[in-house]
Amino acid sequence: MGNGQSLPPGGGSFGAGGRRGADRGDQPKRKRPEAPLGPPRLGRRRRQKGPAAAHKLPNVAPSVKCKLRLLRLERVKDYLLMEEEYVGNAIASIPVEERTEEERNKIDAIRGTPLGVGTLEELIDEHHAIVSSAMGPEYYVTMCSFVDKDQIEPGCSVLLHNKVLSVVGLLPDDTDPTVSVMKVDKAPLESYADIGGLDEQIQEIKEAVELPLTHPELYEDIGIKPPKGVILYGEPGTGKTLLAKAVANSTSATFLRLTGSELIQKHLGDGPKLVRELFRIAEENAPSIVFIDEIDAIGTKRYDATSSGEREIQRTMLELLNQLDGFEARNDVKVILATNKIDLLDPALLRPGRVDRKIEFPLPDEKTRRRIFTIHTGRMSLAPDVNVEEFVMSKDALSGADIKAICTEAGMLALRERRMRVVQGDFRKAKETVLYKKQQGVPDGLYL
Amino acid sequence: MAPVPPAGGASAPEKMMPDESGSNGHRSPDKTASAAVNGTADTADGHLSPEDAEMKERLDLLVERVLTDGTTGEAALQAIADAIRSATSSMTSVPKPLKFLRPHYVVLQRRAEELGGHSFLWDVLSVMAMTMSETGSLECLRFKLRGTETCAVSHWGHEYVRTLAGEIGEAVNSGAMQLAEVSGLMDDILPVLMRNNAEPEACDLCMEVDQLERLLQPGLIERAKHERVCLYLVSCAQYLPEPEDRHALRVAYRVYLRAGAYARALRVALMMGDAEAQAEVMAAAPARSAAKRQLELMLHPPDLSEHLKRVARELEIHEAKTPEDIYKSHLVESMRRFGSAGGAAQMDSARQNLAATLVNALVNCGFSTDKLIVEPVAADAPNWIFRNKSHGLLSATASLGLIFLYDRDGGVAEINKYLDSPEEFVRAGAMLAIGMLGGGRVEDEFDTALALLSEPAEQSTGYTRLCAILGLGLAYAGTRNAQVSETLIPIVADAATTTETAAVAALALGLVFVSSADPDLTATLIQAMADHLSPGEAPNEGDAAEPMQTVDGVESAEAGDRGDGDAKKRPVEEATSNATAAATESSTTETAAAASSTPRPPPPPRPVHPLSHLFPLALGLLYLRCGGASIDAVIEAAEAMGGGSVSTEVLEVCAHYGSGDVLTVQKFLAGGTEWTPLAVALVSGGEEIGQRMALRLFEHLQQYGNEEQKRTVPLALGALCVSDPRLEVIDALSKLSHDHDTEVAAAAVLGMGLAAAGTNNSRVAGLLRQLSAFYADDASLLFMVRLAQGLTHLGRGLYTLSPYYSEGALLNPVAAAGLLTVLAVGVGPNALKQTLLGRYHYLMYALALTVRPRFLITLDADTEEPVPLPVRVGQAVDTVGQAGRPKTITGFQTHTTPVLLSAGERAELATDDWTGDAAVLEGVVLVRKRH
Repeated sequence: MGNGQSLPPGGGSFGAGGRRGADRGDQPKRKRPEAPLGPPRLGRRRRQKGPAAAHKLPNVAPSVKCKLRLLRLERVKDYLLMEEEYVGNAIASIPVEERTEEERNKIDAIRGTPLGVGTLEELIDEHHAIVSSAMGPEYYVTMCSFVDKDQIEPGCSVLLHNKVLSVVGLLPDDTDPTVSVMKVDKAPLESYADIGGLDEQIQEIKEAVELPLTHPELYEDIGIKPPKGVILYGEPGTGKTLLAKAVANSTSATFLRLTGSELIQKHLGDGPKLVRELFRIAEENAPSIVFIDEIDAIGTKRYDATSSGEREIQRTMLELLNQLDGFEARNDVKVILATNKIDLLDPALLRPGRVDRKIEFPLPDEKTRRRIFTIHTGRMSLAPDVNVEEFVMSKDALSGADIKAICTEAGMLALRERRMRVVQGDFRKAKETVLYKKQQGVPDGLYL
Repeated sequence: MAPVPPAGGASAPEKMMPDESGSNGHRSPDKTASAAVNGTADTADGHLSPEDAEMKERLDLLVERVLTDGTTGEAALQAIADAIRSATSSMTSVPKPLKFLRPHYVVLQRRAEELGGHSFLWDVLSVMAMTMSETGSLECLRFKLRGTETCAVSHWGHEYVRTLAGEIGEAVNSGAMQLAEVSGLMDDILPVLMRNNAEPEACDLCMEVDQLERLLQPGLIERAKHERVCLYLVSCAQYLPEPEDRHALRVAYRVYLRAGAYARALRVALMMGDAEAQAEVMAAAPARSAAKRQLELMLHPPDLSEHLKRVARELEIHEAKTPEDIYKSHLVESMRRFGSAGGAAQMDSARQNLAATLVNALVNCGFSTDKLIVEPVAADAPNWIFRNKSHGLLSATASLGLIFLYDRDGGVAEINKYLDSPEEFVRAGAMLAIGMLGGGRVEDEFDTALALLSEPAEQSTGYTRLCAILGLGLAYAGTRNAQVSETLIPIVADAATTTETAAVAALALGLVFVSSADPDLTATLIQAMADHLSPGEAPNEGDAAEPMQTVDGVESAEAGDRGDGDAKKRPVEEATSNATAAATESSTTETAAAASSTPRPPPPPRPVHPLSHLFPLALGLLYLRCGGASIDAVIEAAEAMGGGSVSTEVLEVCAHYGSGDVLTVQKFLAGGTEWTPLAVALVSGGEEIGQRMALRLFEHLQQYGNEEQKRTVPLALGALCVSDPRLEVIDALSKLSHDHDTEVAAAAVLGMGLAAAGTNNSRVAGLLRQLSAFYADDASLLFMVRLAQGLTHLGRGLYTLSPYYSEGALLNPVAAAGLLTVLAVGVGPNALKQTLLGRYHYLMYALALTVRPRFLITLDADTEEPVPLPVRVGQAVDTVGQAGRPKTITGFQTHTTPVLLSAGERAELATDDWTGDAAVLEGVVLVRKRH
């Protein structure tokens, strides 16, 4: 409540009380000039950078594990313990229940009932604001002193007194719903164990994305800045999305995922705004990992675009570029991009510093294919005659997705014939179907 | 990415680095890491990839062979060792060979026991133990000690060395092993760590087993590395408990000395406060070299006055400024509107003149000229000094001391005019001015101050005596001059001396013998305290109303002859002023005089003298930064003699000044007196973490503290960030400066002045201008605002008031004493009203000791002529323990010397052609051309 204090008219004087009283007698009209207040520091900016910064704990300097760090952390801890003790004692010495109870009643009385709900449009100064309610008109109203000014910001929902419409409270702010849907609340079921092969890729993504979040000191030890992001590219069905899911599954960092096309919005400026919001949320929930699938939807090379839609998409990409390696350093936000058309992407997106690591996902080789088959057939009921070696050794270009499709297809065939087991024949047929479907539409030998 | 040395188990990361028991900065739990192990190496259901299976088989076979006798066994062991060494993996997962060897760990152990003696098998087992042993079993270390001598520790990679280092610390600390057992191993490990850029770990290892001297082994620390090692040790010393910190500093000192970094060695010696070490450095530095001269400059500053004026000319700020230039009242709108409405409501002219005098002195501090007194704008105008009355006269004359700061010759010549003035106040002021000339930095070669002041200090009466005593204290602050003590001790010891004089004399003694811990003086001061503070009456129980009357009397007494508005009041005032002066001269105590001049029906209990703080303060100054142990006896004695809780507190604060001692802070927080905030600020203000945490504490003190504490918080905020106007602090103070409680407001204004002292900070200047309009009709607060404005523009931005120097690592005790004096008189109920706002405004001049130029000048080492050099000035960065050669400053700008350095800034030379010997680029630095 200390924030909203205003000066009483002609507050106490200092030292020369008696004489001042006499002065006032002579000139009853004289008033103290209005309290000059510093620039109003309200709203979001204040929440991030205002005096609240003073309450933040100091950064403890060497991130290398060493005794100095331990000593400094211990010093901080000592102070925090003292704070706890002091505040604890101070609170214990105040008769809490009665006072809060009394204050609550008072506040409730001031608030009245029912309460209106409105949107805060603009903050004028510490005590006044412009609000709008659902009815339409906007009002210039006062804010009650007990409203927490630190939490209030333009655009948030506030409680209004039913008659005078003064701001008497605020409703907890919810984040932009469009962004909050991107948050992966339920971890995907796929884990690293479900990936056949790709050992190298797993190691690379781990070094670039996970370890900087879990063990930042390793990088500091050697004196490098950890990579900011990676791009996964390769043929369709080689496991890019799967790997991203596995990362989401294993990490405890906030995982935000979206596809490139989600960033294309109807209205001008919405796309870039969404990108900004996305990274803001990522920062707020840091450490976090942002995964953008099918980045080629917005990340294609720039060229003279004629339609405004094209230009908007390009602007979205420019915003993305800025967020990836812009003016503000974001250390605890890692970005994973995925595409199967890396050659179409804008070079600015791929330069080191934005996306430091390009991880290629090749078509699986024999060994990997065997593992993928093992993984997929592991949960199927197979006839004893099934021997996947035949498919593993075949010369056809099979991606991981193809192999999964073959297994699924084989299962379907078995179901169709009402067998409870999948036999080798099913697999053969399934492979043919899958391969035929895959090559469909590409006229054989046209370009030979 | 380059192959990583065999990494430790992700399952036991804590074990790998046992020296880090506090949970570290990573926010994600180790879930990721353990998942990584499961993911890459073998699948969840235990399937192995063909290569892995092959490797497992091979290792199993090799283990079989090892278990048999003969040469095959040895070859197999070698093969296992190679497999372990060559394995690479992701940084946090266990290498595969180690994982596959896991089932054989016990078997191999048994086999090694059978073989007996020292064998290579033990070495291999030791590596395996890194990931397999139980935490706390120390098997890694035990096995290593049984291994062959030829197998170097570095053979197995960095992680292994770290593990060993950690276990050594653990073993010795838990008493599981004697130091002698691991001594040989440490000799192996230390060079490896040093070579591999792991100096912090090497230091940690030595620190853990309390063997820091090992770092001094010849050849261990290469020339290029000594800086990193020392930086780490010095940084650690700030946080180590009492005996260990000196130990670390001493080792750093030795390393510097051996490396020939004399200036840095001297800096560490000063940190230790070790006079012998200082002498040793001076002796070690080659005679007549630039390095030696630099050391001399560090200990005895050169001709400051000369440099100051040159810098001022270079920066084009040499033009003298008038108070009006500072007030900038044309920018204050409401002043016109409300202020001019009634002249009576304006600050009474005496106050106004006094404020102008102080502002003038502060702004032109050290420039030897000004536009009011020395070189009046209008030549025929009457001397400014004589436009003041009584105490105003005193302060006006004394302000010459600040104006001629560091310029002894010019100062004495100017002040001489006033030494024989018929007016007592002028004489007194001149005495004080003489005392201030040195500013605690420039030595008094011919003992002018002693010659001029000792006689009046002993013999004369009233203000002349008071100021002569104070002048002596200021002139010889920190010198421990025996002649001064001979003069002053009788004054303090004499029980018949008035409380006022005795208090000032005690303060002067405290200043002269600052942090000397002199036992004789201690006894004298305690005795004086007993004489002058009546026992059984705690100082903070004083009657608030009584002194206020005094202040009123003084205020009206000071009403000057300038304003037309109060001409009609004059006769009355003259009468009171005479009465007051007479009362003081007749040596009755101040309070008695006040009581006689104010007819109040019930005679109040004898109120506490506003200067009674000075006794415990003087006592505390003797023990400034001497640590807790030394003062326990003194505290007891002081308490027994009726010093009360204040004396205990002041002593505690002084003894722990800037030490960051958490226990002291805790004690004060639990105590909950008005000293608490100031104690928090002064004790923890020495280093960054303490400062930040103190700011948090203030937040709580303001919310939950009692009334007295809330009044001290603003002052403490100013004291915490002296000359460092941080946004958050200024914000907080600005809010407090509009508080209902005028005492809080006054303290906040003063705090703002302190926080912005000497910075010319435009934000603060703007806020203060607004405040000057806001408080236009409150004389006391307006006076405070003026004072704060003067502080903000102290020396037109050439100075800082921070007692810490050399990048905040060193504390100048004299400067701290000056600051403490001003702060201490502002603590307590009505303290500001009675002292700075009452008749003791001249105590403000104690700041002359604290003022320190914040410039950086480069001088040619041969000619000692200034050389303009490009330097980069930017925010200092803490680079301790970082890899490579990290940047030491950030956000820098390149300037040409001379430059001014603000709080938290650091400079580095931006040219390769010149080099210097200075430890820190601050103050006067010698440079020489590189050939």
